[in-house]
Amino acid sequence: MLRFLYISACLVIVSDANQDHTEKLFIRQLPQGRTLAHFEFVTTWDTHHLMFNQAANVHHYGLFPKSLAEVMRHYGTQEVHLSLTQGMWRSRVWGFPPISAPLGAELWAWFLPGTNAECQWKGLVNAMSGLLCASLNFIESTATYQPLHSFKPWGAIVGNVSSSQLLRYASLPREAVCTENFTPWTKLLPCGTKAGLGSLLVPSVLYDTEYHSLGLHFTSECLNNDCSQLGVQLMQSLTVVFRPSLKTKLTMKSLFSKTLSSSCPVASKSKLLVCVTPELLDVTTPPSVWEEVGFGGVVTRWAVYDIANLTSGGLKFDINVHTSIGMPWAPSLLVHRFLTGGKAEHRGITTEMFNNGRTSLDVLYLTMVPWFCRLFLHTLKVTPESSRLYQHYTPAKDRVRPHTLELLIRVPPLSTITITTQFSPAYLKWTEHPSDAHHGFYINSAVATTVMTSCPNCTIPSGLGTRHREVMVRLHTEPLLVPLPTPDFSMPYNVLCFVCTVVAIGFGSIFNLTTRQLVPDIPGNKKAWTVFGRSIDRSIIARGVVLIAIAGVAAYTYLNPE
Amino acid sequence: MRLSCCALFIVSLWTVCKAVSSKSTHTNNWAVLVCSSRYWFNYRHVANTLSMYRSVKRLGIPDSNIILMLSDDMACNARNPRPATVFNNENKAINVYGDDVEVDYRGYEVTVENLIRVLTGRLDSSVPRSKRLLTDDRSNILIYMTGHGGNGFLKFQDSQEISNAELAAAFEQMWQKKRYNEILFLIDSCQAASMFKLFYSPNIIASSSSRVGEESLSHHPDTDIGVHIIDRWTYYALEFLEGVSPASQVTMENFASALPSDTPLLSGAIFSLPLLEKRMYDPPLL
Repeated sequence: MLRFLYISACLVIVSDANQDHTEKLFIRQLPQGRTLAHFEFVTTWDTHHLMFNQAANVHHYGLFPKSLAEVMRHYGTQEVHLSLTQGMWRSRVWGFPPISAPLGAELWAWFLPGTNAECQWKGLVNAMSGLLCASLNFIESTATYQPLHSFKPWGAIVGNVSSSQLLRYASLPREAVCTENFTPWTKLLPCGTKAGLGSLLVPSVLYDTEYHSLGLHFTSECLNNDCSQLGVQLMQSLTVVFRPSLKTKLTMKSLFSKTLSSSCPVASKSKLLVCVTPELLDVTTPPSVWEEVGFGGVVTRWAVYDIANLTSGGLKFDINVHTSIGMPWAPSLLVHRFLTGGKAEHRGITTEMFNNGRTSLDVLYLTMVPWFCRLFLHTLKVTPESSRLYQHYTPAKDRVRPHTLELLIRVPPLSTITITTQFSPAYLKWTEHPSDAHHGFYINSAVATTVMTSCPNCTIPSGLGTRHREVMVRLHTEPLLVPLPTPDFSMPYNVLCFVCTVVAIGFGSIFNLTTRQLVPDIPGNKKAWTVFGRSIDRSIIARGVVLIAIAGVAAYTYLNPE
Repeated sequence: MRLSCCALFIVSLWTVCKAVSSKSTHTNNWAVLVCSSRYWFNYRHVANTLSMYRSVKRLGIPDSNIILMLSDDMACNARNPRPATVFNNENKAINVYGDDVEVDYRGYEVTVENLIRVLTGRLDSSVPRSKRLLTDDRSNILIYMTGHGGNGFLKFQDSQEISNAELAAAFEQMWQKKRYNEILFLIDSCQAASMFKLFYSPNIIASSSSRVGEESLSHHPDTDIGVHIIDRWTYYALEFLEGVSPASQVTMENFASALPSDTPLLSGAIFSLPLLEKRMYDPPLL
């Protein structure tokens, strides 16, 4: 009886659990003739990776990528978000991005309680660096942050969410993003770049754009109301802003250099959505359905094409582009950050927050500063002071951890808040400088998070067909580049040459002159040695040997100071 | 029934004996391709390495058996007029960066320490599989290095150097730890022959683009991209490799004759061992 139960339990775990894959492509016109394309590939699985029974060794992965699930399981991660971005999202003109991402790489994760999060984090960053060909292994304790209030999990989490014990966040603005990151990302898709919406992805086209962001979001989801059953979801997103086109007509070929000719056979839903709000766009190919989506208190109209029911000739659609599209409202929240102070000793970071809306906004502002920019907390000033509702600061420790500063700022309607702080750059050891030290050192993008009831500037609705009341809006500021004082890397070599020369020639000659004893050269003097045909007194040779030995020891000591 | 079992047993015993007595000591191929130069004006070194990567992949070594190290990002560099592309010829016939590329060590990760660790296998336990050289004593390895060099050293990222003594010691460690069957060591840099002068481990064939005291020169610039895009030695080596397919029966002697010294190479392409006539069916060419 027990054996039967055990076998059936194994079979339940081993049998083909429900995996589902959907893909969506949103296309929307932005001001000044730019086009936004946002891909979302979502794979869900109703088995939770961390609940795999140790007794059951076989897991049928099917649509869900095995390489990623195994990494998540091995390092006890409940939720992981990775983004690789190139270019800058211009909020002032384009509105709010579908998923905000800073320049370079950003990785944050929530771990299982009861595990050593530090060890798991180190293993996770190395595994992800191998998986996506990115140098994420440079994320060490000096680049890792644990924000207390920002970056709460998107999905269901086991553990205490109010502390940041299980959270780790890191960002690498210096990370380059290119096809070598894109290739392994496409290999995680069930249909890859062979069929469906993935077939539109051509790297040489996607990287010749103004803004490009790859996203990997792995979350745990509740499958029922009391959350007794958990499943996992992997969302792979790609957000691209194409350069302004000189043509008046926009087609699939003009955007992606390819037409859509097949659908992904394993995708349960495959949709292409084109935004027709404001109604200045003409869509010449009739869509399957017109949808009105309410998101952030604003209703937009979308032409929805069902790719799964594609005709054999392939899908071609035409939209007419009107390049004089402006934003209906100025964005309700804008954050701008910059360095002040030039090369003076006391430099500063200034942040400006603009609220162009008619309601007051409570913004959670997270500043992350590396340890070598010594932040002076007593110089932190918020103008006006009444806007600062809450502050949490974790000071840095040299070469161990960086500064984290979280502020809750109330920004009144139609006003600007200024936050300034000063810092002093530290001197790094000469071995801590990278190869191109004169490039400078990056300070991560700051993160501003707020909740809005009305979001006319949100570009892509996160859930189609639902009506959301409130929207969480996250914005990343520009990263800052700080030139630190760099040493002259050729100096050790110069000093060595100089010192050895002085010791060998100068000191030797002076020593001889002050200590030489004139001795008459009597022929047959047995004490003299012949060197190079001349007889030299033995004591002088002995002194010469001593001098060379001293010079050698001095050179050795200089080269190895410890 | 018993007779057929007997016969089967004898036949299987015979085939096993035959297999054991066969002389082949080579079962798998690996490649380590290193570009050690940073900055936009060293575009040609990245193009060299990516061209070798393309050839090696085409001739059958999969990505899992290739360690590709690029010190800088040229394809998506802000200075590149054609993003996500790297060309090795002015005619821009082939985008050697391509749509399917996996770079294992990139940017600041390409250091002398990481190279020696990869070769000798002394990596931290957290280093993922794709960044490890998992060779055994039956692996033939192609090691290709390119960059700026001098008499006895190769420069890494304008801030470090690997000396010929370090490289020779690393190869000897590999031999002692049974990490290779044969190594083909190719190097394209100035005074490249000095890099294999101190090798003392067996079963290594080395080829360089110039003699000691000589410089290796680049082949031609591209006026559109604005920099020199391929080096001479690699250009002629690629010309040769383009005519090689996985079923070819070419030999080391063919390879050597395809790299003409002095004219038009303008430097001496030399080999460290006497030329051996062996079948070249995959890089490494033994």
